[in-house]
Amino acid sequence: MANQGFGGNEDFEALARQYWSRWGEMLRAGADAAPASQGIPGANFSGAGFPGMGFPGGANMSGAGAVMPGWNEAVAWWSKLAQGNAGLGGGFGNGLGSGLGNQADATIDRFNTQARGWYAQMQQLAAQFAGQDADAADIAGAWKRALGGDFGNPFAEVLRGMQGPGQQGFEQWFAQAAPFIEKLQRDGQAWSGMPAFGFTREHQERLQHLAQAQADYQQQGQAYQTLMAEAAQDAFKRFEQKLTERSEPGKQLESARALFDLWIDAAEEAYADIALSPRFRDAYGALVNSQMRLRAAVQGQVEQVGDALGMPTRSEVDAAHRKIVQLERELRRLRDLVAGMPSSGERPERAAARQAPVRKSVAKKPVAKKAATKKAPAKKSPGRASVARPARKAR
Amino acid sequence: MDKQDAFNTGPLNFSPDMLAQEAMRAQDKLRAGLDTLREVDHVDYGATAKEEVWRDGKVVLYRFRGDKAPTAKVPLLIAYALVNRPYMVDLQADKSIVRGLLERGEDVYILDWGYPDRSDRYLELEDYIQRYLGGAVDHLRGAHRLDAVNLLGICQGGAFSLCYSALNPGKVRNLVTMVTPVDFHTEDNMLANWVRGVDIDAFVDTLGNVPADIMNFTYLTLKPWRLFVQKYVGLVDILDDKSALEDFLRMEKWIFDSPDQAGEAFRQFAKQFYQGNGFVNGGIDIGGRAVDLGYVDMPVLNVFAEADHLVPPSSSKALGGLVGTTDYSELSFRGGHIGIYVSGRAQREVPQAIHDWLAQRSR
Repeated sequence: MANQGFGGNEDFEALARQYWSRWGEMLRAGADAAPASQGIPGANFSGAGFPGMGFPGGANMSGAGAVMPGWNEAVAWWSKLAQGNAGLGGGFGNGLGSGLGNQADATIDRFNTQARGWYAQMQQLAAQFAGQDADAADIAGAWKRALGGDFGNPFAEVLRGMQGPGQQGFEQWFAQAAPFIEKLQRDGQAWSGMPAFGFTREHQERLQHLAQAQADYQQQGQAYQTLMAEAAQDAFKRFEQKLTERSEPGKQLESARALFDLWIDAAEEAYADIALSPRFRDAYGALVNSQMRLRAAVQGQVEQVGDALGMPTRSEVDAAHRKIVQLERELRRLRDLVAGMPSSGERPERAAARQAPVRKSVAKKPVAKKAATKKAPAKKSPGRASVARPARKAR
Repeated sequence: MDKQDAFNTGPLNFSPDMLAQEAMRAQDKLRAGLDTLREVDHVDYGATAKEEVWRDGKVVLYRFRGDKAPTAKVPLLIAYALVNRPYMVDLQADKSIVRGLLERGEDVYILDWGYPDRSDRYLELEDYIQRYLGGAVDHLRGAHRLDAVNLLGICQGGAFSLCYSALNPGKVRNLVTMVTPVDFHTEDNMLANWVRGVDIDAFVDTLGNVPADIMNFTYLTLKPWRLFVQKYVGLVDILDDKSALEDFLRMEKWIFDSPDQAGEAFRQFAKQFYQGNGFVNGGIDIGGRAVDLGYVDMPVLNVFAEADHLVPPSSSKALGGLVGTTDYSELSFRGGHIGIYVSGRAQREVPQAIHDWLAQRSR
């Protein structure tokens, strides 16, 4: 059972309340006692709030990069408890049906993975400056340091956090295939730098190709991450700018959540700026293309193994599917012919009456019109009234 | 709550006490969430009764059944995108474009593309557009004894509907496109920017069908911080609200309940539309026939969302300069790509606008 010895919600409530109470007291005491530059007053927290759970993690509270005690652990614990309910007879299984129950579990998992760490770090930042007259540069600087400073790449962290078990994304595939690739490369290491000839030349070339594909994939991955790191540095600057814009009465932030949302705005803007650029297009394309080459190389090796074992390969199955689809297509065309109608299903007399259309904008971008954002039923758009309704072309 | 006047020169205006209170509220939400999650009801996706009326392989045509008989004489066929499930237009009782249309007397059908598997890898755009969409249209023409029906294409389904209408203009009486990409090379189209650098042939040759996870991952990385971080932090806010939590979970289900993409159709769509920008530049070939939007001569209503990050309005609005019809209208919706189906404003505005526009053209 996921709640590991807890009696249920009553225990959760009591312990969590006790914990949050101490958290609040600690914050208040810390704000009086210590300057912000020394970090939040959590480093002395003993972990005694939740006996027997190793909770909250005093161990992770040392240093400026430490995480606010509470949120991280509370959310992780809550997620376990919430998901544990899904496995109990009275939980999701009864109430939701498997579809929504699974969805709830998946959602909680994503919540735990994504919300926990980032918001915890932002709470840390907020606590560091709560009750003080800190300026935008101090806050943005502290946030940047918390995320790795000049070498930090929080964007890469977010994208990595998006991966999960069972997914069929790029990173998962590489993680799954890595042992296989390594074994192939170990086996072929002696051949890797030699010209291919003789009886085994085809095998040798395939392994060399695979090794090259892997090296290329890693190189393209690094180039992509360089852009992500660039976006991160831009995001820190935008964050400071946004903080500056909020540095007057009436515009100030009044919660850790508002501070967090401001960072999200800055990060998304910086990301969009990069992601819409030709540089990103090139890097993204190169990364995807390199992984396709690596995948294809691995699949080629798998086909070799399958063939040697007398198993049908994917290529063979694909070829059969292709033939079936082609046969079906031909069959439908013949059927339509037999039924006396063209394959498009259009009535012959109508088709015969069609004339060539008036095509207005081929090979050029249309001139942006002033937004004709009228509610339907709408009148004809301005500038279109003079366009003649085209006759249909005979086909 | 002790806001301190002293915090008036920096961007932060909160005290440790205020932070503690904020943390306490979060704790209350988390505690309440344990109960709420246990109480959330089983919810079926799709709020409106429907019946299967036609099928070709995995593709099924459904007719929705409203509380009252339709008054419209011409049926309205909805063609959704391949990349998500079509129940988004009928997600739940209070978030259903379909229900809104039925209540106003429309006779609504929807085409469900199903979940392609490896045996569908060689399906092409011709299959989706002429065979499946065309088959559904022909079925409705026969069943209703009409030459032409009304077509509502959404997102990629809108692009398909444009192709179908250009190739078979005599079978489409009125065409409505919703959040439909037309010019794929506008400067604000992030997804198209990425796709243009990808070797699509290598991509499809390697993957076969394109896994849904890759598609979803790509869509979500268009806004990674909002969709992967902020959204789940925001989940805390609704943990004590059973109804809101059910809505959230239902939407999560829809977002991640994605079919794989049939490889060859994906190849053609990515190359001809995303890379070739075929609606604008020409070059779209569906089963050996060129698509020219100049042939789209029936009335067209183009509905787009002003804050659409997947299909920027600039991409949709290009349609006005390309179609051959003289009866072209636009409806600009204040919202995003998803909000246009499920937001409260969408329920109030979109079905009514479509119904009014169709009614004007049924006389």
